Amino acid sequence: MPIPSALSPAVVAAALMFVASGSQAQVTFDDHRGVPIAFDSPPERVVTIVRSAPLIYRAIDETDAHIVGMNRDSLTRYFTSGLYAEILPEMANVPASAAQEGFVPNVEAILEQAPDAVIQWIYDPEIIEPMERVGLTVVGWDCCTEQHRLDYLTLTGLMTGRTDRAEAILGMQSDALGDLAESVAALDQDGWPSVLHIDQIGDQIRVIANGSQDLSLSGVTNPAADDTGEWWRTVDLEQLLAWNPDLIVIPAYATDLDPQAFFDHPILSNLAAAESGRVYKQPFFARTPDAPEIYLTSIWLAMVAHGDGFADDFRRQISDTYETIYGSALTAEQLDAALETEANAGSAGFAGLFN
Amino acid sequence: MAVVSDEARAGVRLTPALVMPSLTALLLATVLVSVTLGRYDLSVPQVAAILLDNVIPFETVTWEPVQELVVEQVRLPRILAAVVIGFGLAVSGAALQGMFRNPLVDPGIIGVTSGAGFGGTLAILLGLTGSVLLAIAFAFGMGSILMVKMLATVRRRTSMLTLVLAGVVVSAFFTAAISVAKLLADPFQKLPAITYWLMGSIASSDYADVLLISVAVLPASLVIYLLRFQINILSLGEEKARALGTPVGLVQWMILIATAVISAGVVATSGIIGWVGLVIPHAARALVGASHQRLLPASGIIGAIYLLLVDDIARTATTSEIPIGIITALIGVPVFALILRRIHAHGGWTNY
Repeated sequence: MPIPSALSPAVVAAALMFVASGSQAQVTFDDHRGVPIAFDSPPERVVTIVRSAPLIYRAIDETDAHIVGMNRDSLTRYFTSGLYAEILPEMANVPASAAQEGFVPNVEAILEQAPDAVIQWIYDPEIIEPMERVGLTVVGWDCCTEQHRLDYLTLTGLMTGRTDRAEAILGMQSDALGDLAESVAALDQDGWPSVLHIDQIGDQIRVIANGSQDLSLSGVTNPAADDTGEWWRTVDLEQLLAWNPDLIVIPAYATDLDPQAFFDHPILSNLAAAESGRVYKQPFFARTPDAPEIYLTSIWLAMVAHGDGFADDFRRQISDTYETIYGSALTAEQLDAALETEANAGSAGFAGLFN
Repeated sequence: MAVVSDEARAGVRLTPALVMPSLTALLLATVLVSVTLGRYDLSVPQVAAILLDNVIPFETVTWEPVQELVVEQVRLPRILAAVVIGFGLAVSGAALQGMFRNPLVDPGIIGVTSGAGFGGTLAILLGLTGSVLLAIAFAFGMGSILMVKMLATVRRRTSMLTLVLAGVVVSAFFTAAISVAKLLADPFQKLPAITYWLMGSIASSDYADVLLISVAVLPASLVIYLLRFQINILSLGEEKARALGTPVGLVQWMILIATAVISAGVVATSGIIGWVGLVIPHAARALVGASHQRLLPASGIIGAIYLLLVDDIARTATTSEIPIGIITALIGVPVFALILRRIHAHGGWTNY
């Protein structure tokens, strides 16, 4: 079985161990801590504390039958309203008491679900140790590089015994981003527009300084980026005017903010991006950077930055992607909702590109 | 053993006729320097021309509209906000230190800061911003002073000790309530917003904010100034004040309400900015003495200069906006420690 070449060595080794043992035999792999994980067969009962893990597990496993618990954040963020709630309604019925706030496990609630495995972040041993102390098997996920995100799919493929699904989704991502890279390579790099991702403009103005999205894939630059590693940065109005980006993108999670807020703002409306109408609300598929469909965001950004020519039929591509990943093709209304068509109605070129 | 004269013990003091003009001139100079500082690249002549254009309109404009926007709509409102807030916090601190006869008192002691802080936190938690946030924060700030009054008044009498303890109780209650609100907040959006707001910032101030802060700070500061002689008498002690015919209870509550209005107004518009009301009155006292006739205006102007300089650092040091409350604390703590040592070395705090 071919393994996608972009995977980290540890996960490749783990995958080979799985392949050697056969899909219904013992599953053995190392998690992101390097801890060996072994199951006699793919776990029947899995609890997830990583916020996006239920989405990934549901996508790879093609069923919710094996997810028996999740983080409350996962439920409220993804499955009580919005597109995921529409296309994956069964996920709202999964018990959501694995962690009340943040990622601190509620060990007793997890034990009540009698899980075979718990998926948890590894940034703090204190959020893993209480579960291992009571004998739970914890699969640790690291965050937040591109490689880690690819690994989430591979690790989930190994856990579920569905490496075919993991490979198919990874292949789809890889092919789409390869095509995008080819198109972007034809652009003059000196002419790449500057883009700021801004998620708050009220009492505080917050930009994404060093996010996980590789903006060069879309042929754009980020004037706020530096080598501090600081993800978000709170800045003042004057700094925004000094950067004066060509485009502004409002992250999908910033549900209270839309482009009109920039167009109506007494000061921010003077930014080059606002004056030219190039302020855009990010589509739904950027709601979480860990979701398997996140790569669509890079294509979308290339389109709003450079115009058409990066996808033959982007609406069709979105629908096909959701059908492949979640088994549900999107209706026209769902596509409009995913693209934030209403919020972007006044944004330059949006209707021509996406309607 | 050398004998230290009273004059030397009092430190360097300018003659009263010179102090206020000197401080006022220094404040104006600081404002002018501050308006030339910022992340947006503007030369001093450009800023001067943009400002002068408001007084003597130029026939030919040599600057871009965005440059005028930066000076007049971004920097100036922020500078004015810093001046008014610094003035108000320092005046209320000086008044409370005199009234309580305690050098460790600042506006936070009466519970208003925490109360208004909780109001703002609650508003952010509920997704409310702008004028609604401001109104809720102010209402909780004023509500907390009512709670303090209810807790501290027994048989229609209020002792200073009970007042301070009631302030501590109310403050502790609202601090705990803020913690609960933070626990319930969405960790990606609302929790950072709450945390940042609580640390204090005037980054987004516009002229409407300046007007609102001024409406809270200036009349209340005037009330405090009109009570300057009564504060002098109160600083001699309650019994002496009563013997001299001062309506102690009335004066105390007028000062408390005036300082509460200032604190609630500042917190509502700008978050919690600590240490200004504690440190600045000591610096002013070293300069003009303990009489509140001079101490109150001197504290106000020094507070305005201080907060303006702090805000200059907050907005120019890095591309990130540094919460102003962090800088006031970082500077205030060591400065206050030095002042305490000086007070101790000179034989203790003096009320007059």
